[in-house]
Amino acid sequence: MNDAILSWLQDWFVKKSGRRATDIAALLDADYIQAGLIDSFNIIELIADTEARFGIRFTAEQFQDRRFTTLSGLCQIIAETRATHP
Amino acid sequence: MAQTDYTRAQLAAALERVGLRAGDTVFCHSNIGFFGVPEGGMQAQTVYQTLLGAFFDVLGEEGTLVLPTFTYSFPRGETYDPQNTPSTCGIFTEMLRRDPCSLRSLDPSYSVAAIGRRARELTRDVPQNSFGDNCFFERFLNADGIICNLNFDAGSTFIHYVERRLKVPYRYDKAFRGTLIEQGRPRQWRNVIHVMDLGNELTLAEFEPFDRLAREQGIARSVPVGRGAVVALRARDTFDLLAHTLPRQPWLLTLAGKKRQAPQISPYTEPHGIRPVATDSIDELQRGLDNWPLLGLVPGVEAALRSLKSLFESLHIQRLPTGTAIGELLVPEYWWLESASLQDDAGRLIIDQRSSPHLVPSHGRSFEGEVTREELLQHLVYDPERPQSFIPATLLEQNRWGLSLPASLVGRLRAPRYRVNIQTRQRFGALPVGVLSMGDVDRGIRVISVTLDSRQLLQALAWFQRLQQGWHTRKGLVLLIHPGPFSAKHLIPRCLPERKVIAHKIFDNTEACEAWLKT
Repeated sequence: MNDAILSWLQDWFVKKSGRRATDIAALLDADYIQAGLIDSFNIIELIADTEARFGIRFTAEQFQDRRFTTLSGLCQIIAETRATHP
Repeated sequence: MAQTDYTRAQLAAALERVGLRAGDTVFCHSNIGFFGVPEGGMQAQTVYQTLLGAFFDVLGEEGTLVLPTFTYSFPRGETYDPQNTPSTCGIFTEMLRRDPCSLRSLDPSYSVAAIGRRARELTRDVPQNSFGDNCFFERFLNADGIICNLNFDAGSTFIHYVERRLKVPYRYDKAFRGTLIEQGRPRQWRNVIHVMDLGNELTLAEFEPFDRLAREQGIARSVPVGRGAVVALRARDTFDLLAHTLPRQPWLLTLAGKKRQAPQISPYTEPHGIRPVATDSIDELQRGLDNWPLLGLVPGVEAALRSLKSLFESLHIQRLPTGTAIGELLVPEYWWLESASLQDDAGRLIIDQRSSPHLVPSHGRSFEGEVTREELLQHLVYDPERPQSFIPATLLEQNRWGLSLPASLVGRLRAPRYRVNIQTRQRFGALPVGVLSMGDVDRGIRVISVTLDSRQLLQALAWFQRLQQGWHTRKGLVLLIHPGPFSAKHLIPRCLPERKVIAHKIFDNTEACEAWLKT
């Protein structure tokens, strides 16, 4: 897993959810909406901020990828996208 | 500020292109974040107004929009309050629920919020069964409703209704009792939902193959919007496609279908470690059964009936699968206790499962945690008139945890806090019912029923043994033996071939039976 990407994502979720970093770290494989970290409207910001930070653009197919719903999975998708379109 | 990905007009145009028209009734699962940023910004109210506005630009004043506001309250052991219990289906659904113009149904598991012309008729007077007759999904089907999903595939909860109507083999009805708040007042209520066997992973819902099929067949249409897409299909088309396909592809809607691996749907049966009581004495048999908890579908029921078979060779065991309706009750899952313990606040063990087979009421939930003495007392079963006894009890359909303790022990519970650890498990199973018959049952029958956990069983068996030598009537006599607390009169049509039930009389107690035998 890419530590820099994960670290940025964790910080983003700490800021949005108001939860502690240790709480976020324990929920890396949980569905972040089901876990109550953010709501479905926050996804819009998550996508916008992630794309701006890493200089990528997600595809509609990636939105359907089950990994998109967890922090660890999203981290993998970002890393793969950056590797494909550096 | 981020760029705009879509506008209300673009979304409305897409909704029209997938087939929505003025006056339609629409049910929608949504994941609206994947559309991207709407015109006007990312604020919740802006997004909500963009989505709702686009729908009603198309549906008009005669149209109706319904969103899932599922809470699964009773399965989670929680109270359901339609005014306050939040939706678990995303912020769009939650905002519609809070919209003063919307109405929400009273279903404690699968509630919906609706806005528009048909809102009232779709949400009022919901039945106990979330997927049964006259449920929301049936009304939606009858209204020629359209499923229109935002950034989801063509699957929907409506499919679970279709699965129940088509009697799929991998799901069954399960009941939960709980409290719902109706117009501010608490009310006890029962809710039945159609569930999968949690112990059988291959029966997990998997709608991707249905999505592909619906698109291939041309009943689902999809149009891109912003960075996502909308898809729509008629409820009637969904029903008809599944009615046509499931007989040939029964696992289409499950993980088994995706993996191309048929699951085992046979009921979970009792472990072989539970041995029948080996005796030819009815008294000895009854003493043996006293040690088994025989309420509901639990370990020991099958073995108890097999024990009776050693006394009555002609005993036939009928098995009713989990989910079968027996009057007010449903055949539950096969339930068993893994472990249970009660400790005081200093960690001292007060009691555990080795003390009595009756320590945990049958069908009680798992629970692990610390509780106050007052909380603990609310979960205890005891009888002050039998201070040394563990009272056999069941929490069938109650979806809560409990302990059965001798009243003398309850009186000694003085600590302010306790640690409770109860681990129980459940699987799809089948309720065994013993059927003993004599005489010509085709000429009409008399039925005597007793529960395995009752003292009356002993008398009934003794009578039956006596009668076997001297029964000279032309009609038949049937003894029905079943675990409590099921109702005999509802078991009869399930356990006896219909042609034999020419006439019957039911005796719920031995006194009535004896009086009748004397006549």
